[in-house]
Amino acid sequence: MVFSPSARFRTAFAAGAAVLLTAGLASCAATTDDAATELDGASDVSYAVDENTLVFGVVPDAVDTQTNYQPLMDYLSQETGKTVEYHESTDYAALIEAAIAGKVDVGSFSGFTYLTALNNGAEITPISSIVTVEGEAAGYYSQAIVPADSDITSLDEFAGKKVCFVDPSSTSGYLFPSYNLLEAGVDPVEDVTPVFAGKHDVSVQKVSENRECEVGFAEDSEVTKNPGVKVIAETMVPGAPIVMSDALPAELKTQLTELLGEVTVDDIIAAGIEGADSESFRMVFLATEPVDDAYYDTIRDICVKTEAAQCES
Amino acid sequence: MTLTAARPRAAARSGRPSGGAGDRGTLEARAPRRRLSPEKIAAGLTLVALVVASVVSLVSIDISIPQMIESWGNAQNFFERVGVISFPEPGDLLYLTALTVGLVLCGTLFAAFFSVPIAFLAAANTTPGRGWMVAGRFAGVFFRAVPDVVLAMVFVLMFSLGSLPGILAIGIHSIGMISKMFADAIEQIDEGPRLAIRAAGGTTLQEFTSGILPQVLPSWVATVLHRNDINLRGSVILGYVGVVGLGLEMSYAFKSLDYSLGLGIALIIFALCVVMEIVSSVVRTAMLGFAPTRRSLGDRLLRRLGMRGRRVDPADTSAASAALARKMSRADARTAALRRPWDAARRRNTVWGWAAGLVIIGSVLISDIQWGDFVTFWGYLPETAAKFWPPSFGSYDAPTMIAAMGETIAIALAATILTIIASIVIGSLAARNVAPSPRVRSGMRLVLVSIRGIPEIILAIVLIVVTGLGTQAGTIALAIGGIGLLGKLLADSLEEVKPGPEQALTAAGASRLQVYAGATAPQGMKALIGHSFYMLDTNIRAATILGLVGGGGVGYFLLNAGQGSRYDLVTTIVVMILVTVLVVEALAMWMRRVFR
Amino acid sequence: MRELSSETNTATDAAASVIEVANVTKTFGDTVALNGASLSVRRGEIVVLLGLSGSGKSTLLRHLDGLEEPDSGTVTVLGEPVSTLAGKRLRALRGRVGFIFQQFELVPSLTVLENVLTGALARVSGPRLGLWGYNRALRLAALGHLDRVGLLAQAYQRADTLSGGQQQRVGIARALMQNPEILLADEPVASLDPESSDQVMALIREIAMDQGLTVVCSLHQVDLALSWGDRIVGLRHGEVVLDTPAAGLSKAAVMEIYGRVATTTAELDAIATELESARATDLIGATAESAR
Repeated sequence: MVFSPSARFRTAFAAGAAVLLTAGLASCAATTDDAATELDGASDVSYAVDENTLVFGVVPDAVDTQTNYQPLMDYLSQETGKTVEYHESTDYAALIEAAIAGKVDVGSFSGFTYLTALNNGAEITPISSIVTVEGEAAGYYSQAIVPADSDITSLDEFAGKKVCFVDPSSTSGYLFPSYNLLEAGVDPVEDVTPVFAGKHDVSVQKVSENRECEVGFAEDSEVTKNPGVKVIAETMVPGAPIVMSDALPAELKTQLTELLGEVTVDDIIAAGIEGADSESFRMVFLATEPVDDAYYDTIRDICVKTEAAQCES
Repeated sequence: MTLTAARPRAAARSGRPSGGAGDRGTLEARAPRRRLSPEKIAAGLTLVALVVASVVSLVSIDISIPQMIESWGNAQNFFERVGVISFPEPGDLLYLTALTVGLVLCGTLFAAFFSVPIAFLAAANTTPGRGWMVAGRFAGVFFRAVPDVVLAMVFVLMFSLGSLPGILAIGIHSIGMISKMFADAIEQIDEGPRLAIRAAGGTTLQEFTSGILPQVLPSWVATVLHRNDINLRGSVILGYVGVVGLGLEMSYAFKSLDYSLGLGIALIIFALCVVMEIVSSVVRTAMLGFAPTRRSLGDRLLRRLGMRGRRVDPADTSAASAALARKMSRADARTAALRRPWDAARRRNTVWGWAAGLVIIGSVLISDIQWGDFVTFWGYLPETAAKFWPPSFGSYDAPTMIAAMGETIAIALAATILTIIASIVIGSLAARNVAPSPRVRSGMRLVLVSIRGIPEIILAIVLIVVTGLGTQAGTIALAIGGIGLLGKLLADSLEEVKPGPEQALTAAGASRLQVYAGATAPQGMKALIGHSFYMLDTNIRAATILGLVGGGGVGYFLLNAGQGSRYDLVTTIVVMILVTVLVVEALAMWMRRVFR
Repeated sequence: MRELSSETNTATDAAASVIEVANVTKTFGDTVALNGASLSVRRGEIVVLLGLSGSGKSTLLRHLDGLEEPDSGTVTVLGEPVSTLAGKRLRALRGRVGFIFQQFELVPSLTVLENVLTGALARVSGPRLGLWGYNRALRLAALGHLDRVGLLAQAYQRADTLSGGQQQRVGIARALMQNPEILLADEPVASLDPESSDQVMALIREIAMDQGLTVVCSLHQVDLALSWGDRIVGLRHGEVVLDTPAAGLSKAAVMEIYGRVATTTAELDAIATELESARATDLIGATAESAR
């Protein structure tokens, strides 16, 4: 304990010092002087867990998504040669915090969540967005609904009504509707009686009953289920991006962009992934189309107009 | 069996003539062997298996301490971003607080009301038949197993938005625990008074109201108050599925990343919990005439303020009445005695009665219950029920869901074992008869109260920053949250052990630690096993909630299916949880019987 | 030897008989509690069931109030076939029979007055909560009974603040609240100190004499039984082994009683010595005489 290992200790110390020195030089050169990365060792490159693992975090975007992304994970794992850890959550805050803390390598969350994460200091870049319906763009619709027998035909008639929203943090259930109401000259706080239904299907149901809510908003997938309401207006909500952490090594980022940028379900089946050729996977994944940061400018615009709390950093 | 029984006798016979060293062998051989019933061995092995499973789960969850320490900076960054804690506007705050308290109270009272008949059926000594008893007990377990979160999701479909879904979710879920505790209390009564009433020709109902109710009332009130505390904490989680009150505001704040406000509301809920604990103590003391000997925070406060659980002083009232009686004729004295004297006890009871009544009326008023819903909801019932039946796995397959349930169980087991280890230390030090000094005890009690006040969901979010996504955060959050409950239960149980054996050991010159190991701990063992199973049961149900924050397991599927209105999948998951909880309950009952 | 056998019992006037037990057998698992026991009690009699613990006294008493059902045999009380009664009729009968328990069996957390009022439950319908669940007349009656047992002043105290003797007096008041025709008492003083014992036994006897009640009281102390009862019925192993008037028994007859009721010779010796000293002060004869 005292004598023989001293030599080994000395070499280890020397190696450690060398690493620190290189790290220091590297960070000086890059002028991104982040104390944490310095201590971490090599450079400003880092992984959520380690270099052999990719952490994939997901919050389902549209409400009726039954996330079955396993074939996509397997594909990613096969092509990159890394273990893919897949985590899903129903709470945006958890995923955003994980992204800010650098605990996510790749992720998929709503357009709004992406902006919120950016605003709060997450270093992530969008790659692509998932298309689920043949021939349609990525994304889904926020729809303005009225009871099936109602005479209301436009948003400006919502003034003075009891309006069902989903909840104040919902993209398609509050933020887009608020924006659209403002555009139609109706203040979503002052001019209507807002009712928060909590869930999309509840919002639809309450509107169809025409008792607690006279009109409302919800996502298209829930609206189509209930014949008691009709749609008078709709807005496309930009699809959820697949994002990657900026801290990943450059070559990996390139590889991920190639892999996930424009991939179809057939590509994944061709790669020999088990379970890819199934109805449950096609339901949630048909192809991806590349997106960039500018794609989400509509949401930025909404942030400005509605002064939503989420948009503040 | 025959062999072991025969051996000592044969050895004793052969050993008798020899002396010296032979005697020693004889004595050993003559000594009766420790006989364990096969059932006890089986139960012991099951316990060992559970512990092994917990350790394996813990290892597989792979909680990496070095990595957590390394990531500690993230937590600091997080708290820097939180900044200064802020609160809602005073007016809103007051309304939200009143609404939360009112809603929770209504829910708890609803549960208490319906628990009475269920407990009556479920208690071995009052049940009309064995079938009823099993049905009553099952109803309790069933209501406990159905998460209040799921109930709340269902009820918003059938009732108006607002307080009613929350009240009913809290109420129906709470029936599980309250009816069980009520039934246990009934089973522990002194049968005598009841028999006396039966002998006097009372009906079953009269036996209940005059013989049983007065005996169980103190325990029932304590149960209801305890459950009310739990429900107040639980209302935080219910906020996440849209139940109005502080919880909902908190969830809005967290969802929009307004942590400063979110934590502010969490702090208010924490303060409310502490206040509620004090009120509970005051009510128990003042209304039921208990001396504040309990160890809760409120009791200690009361003791400090010099309030004692007052019993009627016999000398006081009897002397007064006797003096009165002397001046009058016997008949007059009897008539006069019809009017109950306004002694201290009566004055106190009246004041408390009115206060309780006003609080209840206030709760109902502030909750603004849509009574009409109780008529209209029958119309929605078939339609809603149809959404839940038949159960299905949705677009998932059975193995996926069973694996998720397995993960939930693993999280619960791992969290429970961590909680047990920590609770044995903290809980023991929080027990009066174990703590080396009153200061240590008070400190530990404070730790336990504080832990109980922190919503697990907040703990989990903060932990994700440190541990990353996945099961670690959920497990640690559950484990820490559990310490608040198990540590308290354990400390209370240890304080309730018979002091005799401890004194005997002290008198024999044992050290503090020896007394603990030799007298206190063995007596508390049974309680520890019982409480640990309760903890496991709680953790399985709580683990499902942690799916909210990417905690892994079946919870994510449950909540996602709920949000996405896939109610047939919800049914499947609830059935899986129900089966698991039933198995745990059966195990716990078996353990209680074997290790009696 | 003035021993009344079962044949003499059946010969008694059936019209005046208020309790009629015929060949009752009752087992609990492997334990035989009553083994073909028979007993007949006339109106106004004060009967002591004498026997060691486990001899079947309590079980017999509980049969009289329909608290147990016999395995075989019949029990008739106040002309009603107790063993076949159920529901409303059984409760009505129970209302006419007061029961005093060894452990008092008061509800500890209720006031004394409320405990007494529970004696009226058979007469009112439905559950009663609190004092005001009973009407004024009942409350006044209950206070009267409390006065009778000397506890009027304690009416509003909690039952568990009273001494044992006081609690048993509340038990008596509760039984009186039923306006009973028969009073059953199961070892009413076994849990009391000697002084309270004397008070309680005297009170029961006084009330029984005043109101002409029929009393069946189980006891295990021979001397107390002899000094207190009119008639002694001995039980052993669930069988009636003795049935005799208590008055004017010779020493030999008393020893005979001990012999029949007690089991071991050691117990018998101890009792004989005790009895000798008691005889010396002529305690038994005097008290038995004065009580009449």
